[in-house]
This record gives sequence, C-alpha cells and structure tokens, in this order.
Amino acid sequence: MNHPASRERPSLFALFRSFLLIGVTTFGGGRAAYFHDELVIRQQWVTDEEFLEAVAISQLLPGPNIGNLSAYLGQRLRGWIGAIIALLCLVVPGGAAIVITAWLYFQGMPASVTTPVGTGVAAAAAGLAGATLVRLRGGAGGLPGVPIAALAFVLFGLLAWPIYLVLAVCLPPSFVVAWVRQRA
Amino acid sequence: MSDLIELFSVFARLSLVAFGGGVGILPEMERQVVGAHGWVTHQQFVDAFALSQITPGPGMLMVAVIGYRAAGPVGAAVACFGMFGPAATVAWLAADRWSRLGDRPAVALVRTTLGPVALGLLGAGVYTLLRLGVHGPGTAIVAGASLVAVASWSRSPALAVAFGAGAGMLFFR
Repeated sequence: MNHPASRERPSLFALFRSFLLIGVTTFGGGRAAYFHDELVIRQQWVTDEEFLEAVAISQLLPGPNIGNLSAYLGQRLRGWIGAIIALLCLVVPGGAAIVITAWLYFQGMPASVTTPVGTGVAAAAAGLAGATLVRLRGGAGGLPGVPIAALAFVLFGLLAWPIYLVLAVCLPPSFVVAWVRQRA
Repeated sequence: MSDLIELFSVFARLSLVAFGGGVGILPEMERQVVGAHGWVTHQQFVDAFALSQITPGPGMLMVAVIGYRAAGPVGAAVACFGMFGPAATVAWLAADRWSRLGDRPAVALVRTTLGPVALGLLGAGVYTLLRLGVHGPGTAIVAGASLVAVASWSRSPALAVAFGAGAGMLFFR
C-alpha cells in the first residue's frame, strides 16, 4: 500500500487528462476500477485507504455513485475547480456519445444490434470489478477486517438491505477493530 | 421551457433520493418518465438503459436518452445536469468539510473504520455484476480473463473491456 507522504498535488491539466481518460474509457459497470487504476495505481495521487474512504462516502451520499466519486476525488485533489473538472470529464464525453446513439436509435436503429457487444462488455466488467476487489484487499486492514467486509457483502449484496441499515450494523464493530488497531 | 424545468426537477429529485447508487431508483424513474410524464415508452426506457451500457461514462447517463426524446439535445443536457449536478454538489461539500479536518488521528480512525465496510460494499457490487453479466461458459471465460489480466498482469481496465466487446461481437451472437 502506498503512503500519503509519497503523494503530490496534480496540476489541473494532469487532473483533466486523467479524468478525461476515465470518462472516455469507462464502460459497463464496475466503474470504480478505472478510478482506482488511474488515480491510485498509475498516478499515485490517492492511497488505497483514501480511495476506500471515498468509495464509502460516495455510496453513503445520494446520487449516482461514480458522479459522486468524481466530484469527491476531484475536490480532494484540487479543490472546487478540481471537482468541476472531474465531473465534467466524466459526464460530457459519455453524454455526447449517448446523445448521438440516442439520435440513431430514434431514427430506427434497433437497440438489439448492441446486444452481443453489451454481453461481452458486461462479462468483462464483472471480471474487472473483481480485479479491483483483489487489488484493494489490503484495505480491509488485515484479518480482523475480513469478517466485517464479509458482513457488509452479505447484507448489501445477498440480502439487499438498504445502505443505511448496512452501515448501521457494520460500522460499530468496524470502529472497534480500527480503534484497537490504532491503540496497538 | 417548462419541459426543461420539469426534466431538471424530476431527475434532480430522483438523484437526491438515490442512496447506495443509481440502480435502486430505476423503478421510480420509470414511473416518472413513462407513467407520469410520458416522455418515453416502457420499451424506450429499457433500451435507454441498454444504450448506456455500450457508451462510456456513468450508467445514469441513460437520462440523456430520455431528455433527448422529451426536448432534443438541450433536454439531454438538462436531464444530465439534474441527475449529476445537485448530487455532485453535495459530494463536493462533503469532501470539502472532510479535507478541512486534515490528517488528525480521528480522521485516520474513521478512514480505517470505513475500509473493510467499503470493501464489502464493492464486493456486493461485484456480485451484482457477476449475476447480470455471467450466464454460461463463454461469459465466464471473458470475466475470468478480464479479472486475471487486470489483477495479475496490471492491464488497463479499458483494454479488458475492449477485449470483452470484441469477444461479444465474435462469439455472443
């Protein structure tokens, strides 16, 4: 895991370039993978722990998760202007692409022509999301964090509890584990 | 003009009740845009979601298709602004408040607390994607290859998904 000390504040142009890359290359679910790959692994502007914190907070807040994640990380890296750049880079290229696609669609292009590609993309995105989980496994904070992560997984993924109930159940034991670790 | 205001307010309201991500609000969105406002038909709504899966960016950009149908390109932009603007403003405010606290021990404690929980939530997301995306040996091979390529060989996510798209075009007809 990288350390906060090794990190530097990116220039606005570097921020623009990275988020634009994320904005034009994210397809089909598992989209946190692109943020982690670019911002944590390649640029090293954000640590694994900060990234997980950002993921948790953007799920906790209302709204589309990766829109929130962009604004959040953009703000942490370069303040309000960073947040605006990050969000626009995420939304504008895809927005333009989908408007063109929508135009074709309303001209009569059947949506089903996209089905084979969509099937392949969805399968690859599932693997991609799994890879991000593997890469971030250190963020569980060692063995004591594993049952807590497992509990959150079961409640949110298998039982489909609302996010607030999941957090209400998982955060107290996680806090105790974190507190004991900090004391140690 | 009133259409644009209506587009903005419908999507802004939807986004601000979308806790835990956008997928949860799809049923309510359909009630609003198909039922209450009649901007698109049920089939167009389903197809809008499908189109969002093969264009880049967040899945919730599907609202651009609905906005486009209701009021043209400007409608598309207004719908996106409603869906992303207010929620991102909240996220920005949260990040701003949070970063003002600096790196004191309490902040580190919260971060360590959130870590395992966030990992579990991401795991739940993976599970959903696997359920939706993997149904048979072909898709399982694509998913497995993508996992190994990114996790073990550090290939870029974009490359993995491009591979998936290519495999789809060739084999999933």
